[in-house]
Amino acid sequence: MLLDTILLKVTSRCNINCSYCYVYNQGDTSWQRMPKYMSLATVADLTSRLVTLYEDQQHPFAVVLHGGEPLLLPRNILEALLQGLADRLPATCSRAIQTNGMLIDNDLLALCLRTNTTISVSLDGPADVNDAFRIAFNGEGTFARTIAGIDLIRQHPQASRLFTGALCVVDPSSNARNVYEFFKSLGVPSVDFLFKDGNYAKLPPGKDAIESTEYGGWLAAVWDCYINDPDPPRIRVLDDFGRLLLGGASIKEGCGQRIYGIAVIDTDGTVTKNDTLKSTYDGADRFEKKWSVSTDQLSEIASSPEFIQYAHLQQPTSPVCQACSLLSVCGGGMPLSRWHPETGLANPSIYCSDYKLLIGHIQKTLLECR
Amino acid sequence: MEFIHTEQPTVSATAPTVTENASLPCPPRDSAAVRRLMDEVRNEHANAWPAATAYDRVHNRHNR
Repeated sequence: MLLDTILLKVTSRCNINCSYCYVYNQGDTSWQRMPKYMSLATVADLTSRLVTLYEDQQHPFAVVLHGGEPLLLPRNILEALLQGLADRLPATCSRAIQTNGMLIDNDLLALCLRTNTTISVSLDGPADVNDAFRIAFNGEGTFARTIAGIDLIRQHPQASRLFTGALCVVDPSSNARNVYEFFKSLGVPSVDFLFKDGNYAKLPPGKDAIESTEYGGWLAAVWDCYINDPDPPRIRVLDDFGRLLLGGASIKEGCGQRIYGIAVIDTDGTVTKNDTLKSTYDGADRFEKKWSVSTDQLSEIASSPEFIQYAHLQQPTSPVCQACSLLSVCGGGMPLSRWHPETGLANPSIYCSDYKLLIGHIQKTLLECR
Repeated sequence: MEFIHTEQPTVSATAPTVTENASLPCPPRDSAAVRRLMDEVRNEHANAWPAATAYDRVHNRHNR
């Protein structure tokens, strides 16, 4: 299968300690056994594998630097990685960094411009919302330092080439309209709202029961702000649901029924499954076969039965989902939220009721807007 | 006129518990966000999808 997204875990450590983080605070311990950051040797292997991947599949893919906090990667290694990708991959293979923004400086922005790399910042809303979960190791909030990083990007004369948006993990107890207006005031071109990771063994904070709809109701309220805004930013998840309801296509896993080829590469070069599976149980993101960019070609990994089977997990196997009229829109949500300790992934999402409420709400307003 | 997926959710949206995040009273007939989505779907159907890279960038598609 074609690979669509290459997620690089360039560091296995983070400079903050978000309480909901699936890497460190949901039970997975693999980060403890990983090198703290990707070495120059692994970066060289990885770059060569990505060049070969493009030659093999003749189809562009995106490379996203992730962590931990990717900007903890020593700057000389970061530069070698980004420059190597810029020099050796076609421009259609986009490069992006997902960061908490706290280590952004002008040298980094210059490097990103030089290598045509974009920046997206993780931030959960205004200070009181963000700092309830996104905290430093001393327990203090991280809002001010993240905003300082965003301000550096926004003040840059070429900010529009650098800044692609923000990722916000939803706190359903917050005021949705305030959070929407906050992101508008930041001038972010795009926002995505992510539901907190959770499963049947552990419901996420703010969700009282499988049947409850706190998250769906919150996002429905954001939708109302969105469609009443004369100059709206992009909101990825709402755009996906809206387009699917209008007969179009989605662009991100967790919405719709398209299967995406996503490979994650750890700091030691190991190729793993979707990293968000870490939130289910320790080691859930590991393939049985141990693949590495130092020994294996990515296109061969992507065409292996084990990888294809993993990719197809994006489609829900529960009979409830398969019989549901909304499957083509919700796609069963993220696989991690279907996990039950006894039945694995063969369940509807814990967010099923939220999706039904949200999709029904979007559907209703689209009909009224015709 | 655009196609709209009209099958109804099996859990009725008649009693959504939106609480303090209650819906705004009425959606505008000419919503900028909805118009943009309709244009995108129309372009998609007409094979006029923008260059993938630019499109992905606008949507911050791959970040996660």
